[in-house]
Amino acid sequence: MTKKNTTINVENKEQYKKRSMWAEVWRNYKKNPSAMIGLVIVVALVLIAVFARIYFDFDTDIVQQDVQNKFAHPNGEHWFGTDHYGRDVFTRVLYGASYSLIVGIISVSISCLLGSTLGVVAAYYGGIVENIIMRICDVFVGIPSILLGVAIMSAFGQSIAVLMWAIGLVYVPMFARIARAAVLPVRDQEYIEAARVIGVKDGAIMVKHILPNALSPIIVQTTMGVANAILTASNLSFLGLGIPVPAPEWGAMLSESRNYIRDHGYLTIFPGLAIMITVLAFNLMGDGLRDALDPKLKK
Amino acid sequence: MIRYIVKRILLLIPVILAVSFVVYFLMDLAPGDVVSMLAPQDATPEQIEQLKEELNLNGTLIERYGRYILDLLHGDLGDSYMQKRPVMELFAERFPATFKLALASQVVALLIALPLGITAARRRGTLIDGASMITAMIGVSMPSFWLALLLIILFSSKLGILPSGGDNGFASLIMPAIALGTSQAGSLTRITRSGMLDVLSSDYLRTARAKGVPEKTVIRKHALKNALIPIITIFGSNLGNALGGAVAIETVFSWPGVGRLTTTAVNQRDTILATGCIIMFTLFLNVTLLIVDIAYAFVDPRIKAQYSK
Repeated sequence: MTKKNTTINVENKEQYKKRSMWAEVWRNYKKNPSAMIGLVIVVALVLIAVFARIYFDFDTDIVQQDVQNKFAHPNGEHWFGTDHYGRDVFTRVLYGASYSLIVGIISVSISCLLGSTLGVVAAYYGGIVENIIMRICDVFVGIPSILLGVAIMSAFGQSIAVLMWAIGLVYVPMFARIARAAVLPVRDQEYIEAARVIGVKDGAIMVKHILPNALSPIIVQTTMGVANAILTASNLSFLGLGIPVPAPEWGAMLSESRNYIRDHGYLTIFPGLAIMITVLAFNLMGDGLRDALDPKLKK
Repeated sequence: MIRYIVKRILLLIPVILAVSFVVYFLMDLAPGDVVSMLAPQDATPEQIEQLKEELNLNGTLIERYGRYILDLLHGDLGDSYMQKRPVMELFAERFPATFKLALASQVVALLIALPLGITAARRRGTLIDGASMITAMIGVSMPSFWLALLLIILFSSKLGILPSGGDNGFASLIMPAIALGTSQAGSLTRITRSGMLDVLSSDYLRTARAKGVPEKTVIRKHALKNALIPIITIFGSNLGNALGGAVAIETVFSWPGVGRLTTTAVNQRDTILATGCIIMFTLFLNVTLLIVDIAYAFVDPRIKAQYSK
C-alpha cells in the first residue's frame, strides 16, 4: 500500500513540474468565461481581417461607387445597407477590421518596445539617467493625448504609418512608468549584483534578469493598450485626421455617416458596433490576463 | 504639504515649456502655412513679405519660437493669426462651455457608477455583479462619439425631444453630457466596486453590524465614506480627460467649446492659437490633478501623514 502511494505521488509531482509558467497562466485563463469570450472574438476578428483582405478586391468591392444603388436600407442582399455612394456597408465593415487591428497592434508594439526599454533602463541605471527619462515622461503624460495626436497627424499628414507612430508615441510614457515600477524592487537584489560581478554585460542583465520581472504588467498593459489605441485611432479618423477616405476605416465611416444621420441612421450603427465589439474583446482579454497572471489581484 | 504643492507647481514650468516646444514645432512642420492662406492669390513677393512682417512671422523657426517663448514668459500667449485677437481672450470665451460639459459629464458618470459599483460589491459573485461589470466594460469600450450619434438618432431625429446641437440651456447639455459621461462611468464603476469590496471585508464594518447598526446606515455612513477615497482619484483624472477629450463630442454637437477651437486652429495652421490652446488645456489638466492630490490628502489622514515626511 505504502509503495503504491509513493509512486502515485511521484507521478503527480512530475506532472506538476512539467507545467511551465505559461501553461499555468493558460489554465487560469481558461477558467474565466468572459476572458475566453474576449479571446474568441479577437481570433474571429483576425480571421475576418485576413479573409476580407484576400477575398475582397479593394478597388471593385470596397471603394467602387454604384450611385444608382445608394442608401439601400439593410435588406437580404445588403445586410447592413449601402452608403451614399452605393457601396455595401457590410463588406466595408468587414474590410475595416484589418485597419483597426493593424493600427492597434503595431502602435502598441511601438509604445511597448520604446516604453519598456526606457523604463527598464531608467530603473537599472538609476540616478541622473532615471531622473531625465522619468521627468520627460512626466511632461508628456501631462499633455492631453487626443490633442497631441491631432497636432502630430496634421504635422506629418494623414497616413496609416503616421497614425501608428502618433498613437505609439503618445502611449510611450505609460509603458515606461509601468515597466520601471515593476522592475524597481529587483534592481538592488543580490542576484543582479552577482551577475554584474561575474562580468555579465549590462544589456544582458537587463534583458535576461530584470525584464522578466516586468512581463506580467507589460502583457496586461499591452492588451488593454490595443483597446485604447483602436479607440484613439477611430477618434482621430472621426475628426478627419486618421486614415484618409475612401479607406473603410470605422471611425472615418462614422464621420461620413453624420451627414445622413437624419434619414439614414443605419449607416451610423454598424461601424460603431464594430469598434465597440473589438475594443470590448481586447479589454476582456486584458482583464482575464491580469487575473491569470496574478491570481492575488483577483477580487 | 506646502513644500509638496510648491514642488508640483514648479514642475509645471518644464511641462509648459515642453508642450509649447513640441506643438509649435509640429505646427511649423505641417504642410501649408498661414501666410499662403491669408494672402490673396495674386500677391506679390513684397505683399507677402509685408504680411509676414504684420504677423510677426519673419526670421527662422528658432527666432520665431524664441520670440514666442519670451512673450509666454511674460504671460502673453500672443494673438491668433486668423482671428486677430488675443489667444487668452478667445480661450476664456470658449472655456466655460467646455468646463460645464466636463462637469456635467462627471455628474452623469457618478450617477451611473456609484449605484452600479455599490450593488455589484454587495452582491459579489452573483449574476447582478457579473451584469454590472459587463455593463461597465461595455461603457469603457464604446466610442463616446458613436454614443453621441446614437443619442441624436433617437432623441433628436426620431423623438424630436432634444436639440441636436449648440449650447442653449439645460436641454442641449443632456446628450453631450451622457455621451461623454458614459465612457467614464465604466472605470469609475470598477473602482467603486473594488473600493467597496475592500471596505466591506474590514473589521470595523463587522463591528458596526455586530453592535446592531442597520444595514443601510452601515453602507451609507461607514462603508461609502471610506470607499470614496479611490473614487476621488479616478474622478480627478476623468475630469481632466473630459476637458481634453471632449473634442469629438464638441464636434458632433457643435458645442462652442475649446476643443473645437483647438482643432479648427490646427486645421487653419494658426500656430499661435493652437499652441496657446493646448498649453492652456495642459495647464488645466495638471492643475486639476494637483487639486485632486491635495483633496486626497484631506480626505485620508494616512496620506496627509505621508506628505509631511
